[in-house]
Amino acid sequence: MKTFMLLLNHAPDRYSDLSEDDFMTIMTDYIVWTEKLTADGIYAGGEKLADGPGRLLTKTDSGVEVHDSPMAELAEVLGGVMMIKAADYDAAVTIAKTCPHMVHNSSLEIREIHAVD
Amino acid sequence: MREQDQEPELALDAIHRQLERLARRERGRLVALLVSKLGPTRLEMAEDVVQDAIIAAMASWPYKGMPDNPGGWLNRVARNKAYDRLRKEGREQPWLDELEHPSGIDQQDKAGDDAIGQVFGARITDPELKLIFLCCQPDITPEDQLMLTLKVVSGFTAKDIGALFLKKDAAVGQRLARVKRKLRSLEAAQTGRSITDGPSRFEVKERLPIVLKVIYLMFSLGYAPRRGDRLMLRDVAEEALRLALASADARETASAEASALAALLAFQASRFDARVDAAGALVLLRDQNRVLWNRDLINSGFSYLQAAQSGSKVSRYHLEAAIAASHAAAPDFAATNWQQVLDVYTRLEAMTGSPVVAVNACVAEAFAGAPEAAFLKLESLAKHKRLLDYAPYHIARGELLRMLKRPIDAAVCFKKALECDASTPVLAHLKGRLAASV
Repeated sequence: MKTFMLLLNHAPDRYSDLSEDDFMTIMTDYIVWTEKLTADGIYAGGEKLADGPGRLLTKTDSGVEVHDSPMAELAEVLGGVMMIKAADYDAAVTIAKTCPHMVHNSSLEIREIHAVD
Repeated sequence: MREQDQEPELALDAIHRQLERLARRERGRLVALLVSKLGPTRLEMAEDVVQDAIIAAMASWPYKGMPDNPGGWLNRVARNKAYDRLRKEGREQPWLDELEHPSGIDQQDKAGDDAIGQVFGARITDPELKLIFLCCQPDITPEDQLMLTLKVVSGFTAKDIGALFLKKDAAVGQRLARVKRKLRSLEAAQTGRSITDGPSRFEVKERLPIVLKVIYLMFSLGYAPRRGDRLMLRDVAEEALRLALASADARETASAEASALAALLAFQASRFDARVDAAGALVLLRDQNRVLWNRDLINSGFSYLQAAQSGSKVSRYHLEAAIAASHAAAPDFAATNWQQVLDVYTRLEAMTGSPVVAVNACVAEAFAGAPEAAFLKLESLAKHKRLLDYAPYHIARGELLRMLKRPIDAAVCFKKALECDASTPVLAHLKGRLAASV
């Protein structure tokens, strides 16, 4: 079994203007999915990233420059990561397709976690 | 194969229901707990921090999964947020320590989780009861009292409440904010009492009739919505039932009147499963499969009715419960003791002077064997203008005309009923009867 990371992207303003009811409805779908995958032994944890810009560090001749990461200008930002267990990319894709993220948002990237042993 | 497909569906439904319940049921319970610590003047702060906790849960649980004790999780987060806010306010008060190390709260957290899924079993906590009394201040209008109770105690959103009262959610939000401001000024004006005190014995006595009325209205809204595409809003009606049972059981509010209301609502709720068919259509009392009536609720109806005999005063809830008991006791529609039902309706009509009660009394009289006299009386009620756009009035006229073998006139009445406000399933039922020539 391999572990895959799902990188959940969404539009920068996706959740900023939602009514409480709409937010609840969407998040309930995600929770139900996570709970089901957990019960099936597929879900392996996840983290939500805090809203708002992070910091972007760039090396220049004069040292390291720090800026707020450009968020508003981007089409999509990373909102959170989830980890799942799957035999291979095909199986991971099949599982990821059932993620409500693909109903409520438009893109999701899957990366296999490099197993050392 | 089919079973494999269905099983996960059911599990998902259960989680959906659990989350919805948490957002509603737990919200009221947590707000009540916080208000009992923070004092009624901080009702809005309590609501805000509980709201923040729920939003935090919704953001975190998709990634982390649900905690083992979701109610306790919400409670802890809400309490910490309240603590932060109070610190920002710079108001150090002795009870902050209690908020930080609350006595008894953790046991109650667990109780909240145990209660999930038991719609009828969930017991009210003492702080919740205090909160209902807070929402039922005599100085605010009955509709405001009801809206506020639905929002604060029962966790309905402004959108839910707007749908119930046929108002825009923004308007409901503004109105609730206005009521809360008024509440705050009323509570602030009551000096000389500790903020953590609940209502005094005098206030309980004074406000109990209002509280019971609000619960009664809440049940009616859920039992027979005047519009919308659902025959019943069971969550609304069941919440009212829970509050009624709680007020009848709690030491501070136990009274003959509260028991009578609990009996009435238990009898009415016992028929929920039989009252609607698989397609969501209305099933009339006479056509209901009485095997589907909830025996447990009927039994509690009878025991509350017994408890209600303790007082000297007979309230309208006593009489309505007695009518509901007659139906509950009848093995089938034909075996209903209509004379008994009619006698109680006659007393109820004399007590309330309500034309709506008079309509029901006429129907009972017709079934008791006097359809002609009942119909004449029903016609004389047309002087009450508000009955003319009240669908059940026209349905009753149609029903009696049908008994008098006047199907063409009956059809006219059912057509009139179709022009009144009613929920879609009720209108569909009427259209069906018209098509089958009544």
